[in-house]
Amino acid sequence: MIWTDIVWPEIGQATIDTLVMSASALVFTVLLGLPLGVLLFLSGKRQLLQQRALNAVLSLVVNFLRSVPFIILLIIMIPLTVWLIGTSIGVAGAIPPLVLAAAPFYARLVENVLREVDHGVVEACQAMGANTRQIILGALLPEALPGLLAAVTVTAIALVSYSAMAGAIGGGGLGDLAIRYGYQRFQPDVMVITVLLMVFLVQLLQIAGDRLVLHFTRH
Amino acid sequence: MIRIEGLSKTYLSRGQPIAALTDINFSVAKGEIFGVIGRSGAGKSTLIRTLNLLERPSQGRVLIEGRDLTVLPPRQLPALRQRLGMVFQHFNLLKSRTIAQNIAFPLKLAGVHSRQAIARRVDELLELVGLSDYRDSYPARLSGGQKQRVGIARALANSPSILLSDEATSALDPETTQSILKLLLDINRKLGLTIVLITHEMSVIRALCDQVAVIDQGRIVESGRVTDVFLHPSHPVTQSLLAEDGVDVSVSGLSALREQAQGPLLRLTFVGAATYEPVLSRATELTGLHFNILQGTIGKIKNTPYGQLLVELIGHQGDLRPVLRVFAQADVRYEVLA
Repeated sequence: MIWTDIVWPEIGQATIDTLVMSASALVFTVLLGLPLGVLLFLSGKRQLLQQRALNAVLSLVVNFLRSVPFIILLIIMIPLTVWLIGTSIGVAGAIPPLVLAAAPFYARLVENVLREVDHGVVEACQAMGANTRQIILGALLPEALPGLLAAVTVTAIALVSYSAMAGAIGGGGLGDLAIRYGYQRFQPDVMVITVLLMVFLVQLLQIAGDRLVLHFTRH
Repeated sequence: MIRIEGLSKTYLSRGQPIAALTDINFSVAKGEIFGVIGRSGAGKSTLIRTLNLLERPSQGRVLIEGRDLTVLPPRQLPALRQRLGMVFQHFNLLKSRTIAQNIAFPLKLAGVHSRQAIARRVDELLELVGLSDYRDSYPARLSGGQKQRVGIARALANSPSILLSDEATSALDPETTQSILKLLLDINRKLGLTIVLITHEMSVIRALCDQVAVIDQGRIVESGRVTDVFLHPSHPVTQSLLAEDGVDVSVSGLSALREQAQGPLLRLTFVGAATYEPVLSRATELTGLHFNILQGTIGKIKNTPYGQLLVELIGHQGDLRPVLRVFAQADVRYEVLA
């Protein structure tokens, strides 16, 4: 290990890349996963918009995307990614596969969180004459907010680790650095530093997420 | 105000139809408190949920203020539900909203958007239920009784004409139960509100209701004025519910007394003004007979004083008619048991 050889500027850039990738993927993941999760929940058995066929199809799609290993998803997504944003490499090229992997994951978490909302509250809203939209926006989502935020935290952390994998196909970021320097150039010191940075990032996310959840929990 | 006609509800469970409610008929007059009592699983929860169509009946009509809910287009249902407030056993408050926001929620649903109008109404309701100090607290900070008060305030927000109460006091301790019952009675009087409540406790019926229906296995087995049903229960379920409340009118309880008794046994029931008359001593004066009181309750059903005594006649020979005439004149209902 020759600690003097470490390319600090590259590490800095890779950290920024990881943050950009994860953060933008997270935004799209929530934008896509939240409605998907709500729909999964509402179309389920004995729920407000019970729709057996729709629920089965959504569930199948979600399960399919969640069962494909991310590294394979990265590869089979390449044509779609190119069509979407013109390239399949770099920070931008990593975002579509990240979203497609994380959105179904988040949707399932959302579905579970919504299931935890007391059905009596929904019933009370119906008794007050609320329509489905009012129940979702006025009761279900606000009641589930702490759980939804906790699910965002879990998803954000999953995205950080997925984004490292994106490095394998030239996605940039800390994972890419670890592979190029640590694996291909036999510089374990770089790998150690990138891993430490990832650990630090995950810790930070978890702490921030926990605080947010606590802030929105009404005791 | 409310009329239920030929209402039935059948569920499919694993392909098998299960009757939850069978041929329910009753009506509730304006301003009345109507109680439905039954054991858990008797169908009372399903019944109260058909009144605002949270459960859709399989058969029959639900008439609220003359309109049949079962044929109402779904779009009109929310507006009609705003005419019926509902309180729940487990309160079902929104944890993410403050007390004031919880009470404001149904107002917003009903299309009230003016901040001042909402704030004014919320303050009024908070005062009505005695929670003005908790305006900006979250439900988690409140005790069960306080949560139910919020539930009641919320149910009253849109000034409904009918309040449905689904075991509103069942999750509360006895003392809190009393204060909630008192509040319900207060709003019934102050606002002229019609109340339909379900419960498994006779004491709730006795404290609050004018009319009662006893439900068992999805059928109404007995109904009428609370004083009548209470003092002359005919169905075994009613009798056992009463026994739990400390009033043993069952046949088995009687037979033991019958064996010990030497003279004839009479059950005397007096309701209202008759309760204040010294009937027994007058009967003694007039007939020379003495009475041995074997069992008895004296109390109030809602506001009506009542008494029921099981007495043994001492020194009696031959004809019972003179003494019975004394009771009849005093408006005391009597039954000769042995």
